[in-house]
Amino acid sequence: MADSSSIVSANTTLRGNVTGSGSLRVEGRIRGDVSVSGDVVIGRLAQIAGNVSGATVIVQGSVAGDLAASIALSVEATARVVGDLSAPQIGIGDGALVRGRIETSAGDSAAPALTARTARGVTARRPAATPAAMATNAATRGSSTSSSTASRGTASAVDNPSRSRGGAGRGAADAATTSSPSVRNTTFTSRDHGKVASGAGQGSAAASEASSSRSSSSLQEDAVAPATKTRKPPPPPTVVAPRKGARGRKKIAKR
Amino acid sequence: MAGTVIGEGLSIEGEFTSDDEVVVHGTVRGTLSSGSMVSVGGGGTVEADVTAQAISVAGHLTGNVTASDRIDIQAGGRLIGDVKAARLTIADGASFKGNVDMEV
Repeated sequence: MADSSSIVSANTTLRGNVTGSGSLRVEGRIRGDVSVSGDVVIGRLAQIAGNVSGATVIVQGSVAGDLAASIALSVEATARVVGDLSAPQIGIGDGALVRGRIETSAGDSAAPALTARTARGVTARRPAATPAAMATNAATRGSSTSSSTASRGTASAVDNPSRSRGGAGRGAADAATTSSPSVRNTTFTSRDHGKVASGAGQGSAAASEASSSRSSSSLQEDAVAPATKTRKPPPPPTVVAPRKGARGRKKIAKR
Repeated sequence: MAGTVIGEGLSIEGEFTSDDEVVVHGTVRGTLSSGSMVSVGGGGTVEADVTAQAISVAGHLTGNVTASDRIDIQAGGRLIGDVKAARLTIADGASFKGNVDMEV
């Protein structure tokens, strides 16, 4: 039976390029570029030295090379990536190692360019504390599902019952404002910074540093269910909704 | 474990090595070796030297082929190249062009 899905199994080594249509699952080693029009899953034990591009790219293994997705890119907890990431939506799970530039752009109206997003976030984030706004900083695959972004929103709302919204929103906005310019050429290990689920990596990485230094609250760490749009395997990205400002601090101190 | 599958529409160029079974419905160019079986499906195209334990050709294979066990060219399959294997079957309706070395 000929179908359009391909598998490179665990005991397989390929030196050369992979191109074409259909989806691809890699469990083995590839030294060369992978470019397919369908989805790509790079399994836990996979090792790829080369650039990878696909519609949806899910990384659980090791990649030394650039990752590009036309729809969404998900770097899961077990992944190790050295290379640049670009996709309309990028998710990085807690524990993943990423070193490289991260850019969530590439013309998808659902996820506008980074600059536009952060700029908007500063103003628009606060009022509604909308899930979308909370998620803008993290252009995770979350934004493909309103449900997961919604749970982010509620996570922070629950955390700070009455007054949190403004505080949280402002905190995030502040963080975004201060740190967004340095998004490019950033290097971070999400493990080091705690929870990073952000396309705007540096923004929330820095922010999470800030918040974790004053003991970031527990509920923020709630794992968010991964997007359901594509069948994504478990390890969910975690969320940072960093908070600065007196209110947040007071709140935490009170505990 | 299903082994490696090169699906329809996928094209691989380079050096391909596997311990598992390899099934090709797409295109492979270069070299292909497997410690197990290599199957070229009906729509598959292989332009490579192939080394494996067993090789089954239902699609198009161009290149020299070496199998430690056997080579089967199925009906509709086409093999162009030299063949080296202890056993070889060529089904009715298959095409084959090349030399055969059965290591007698």
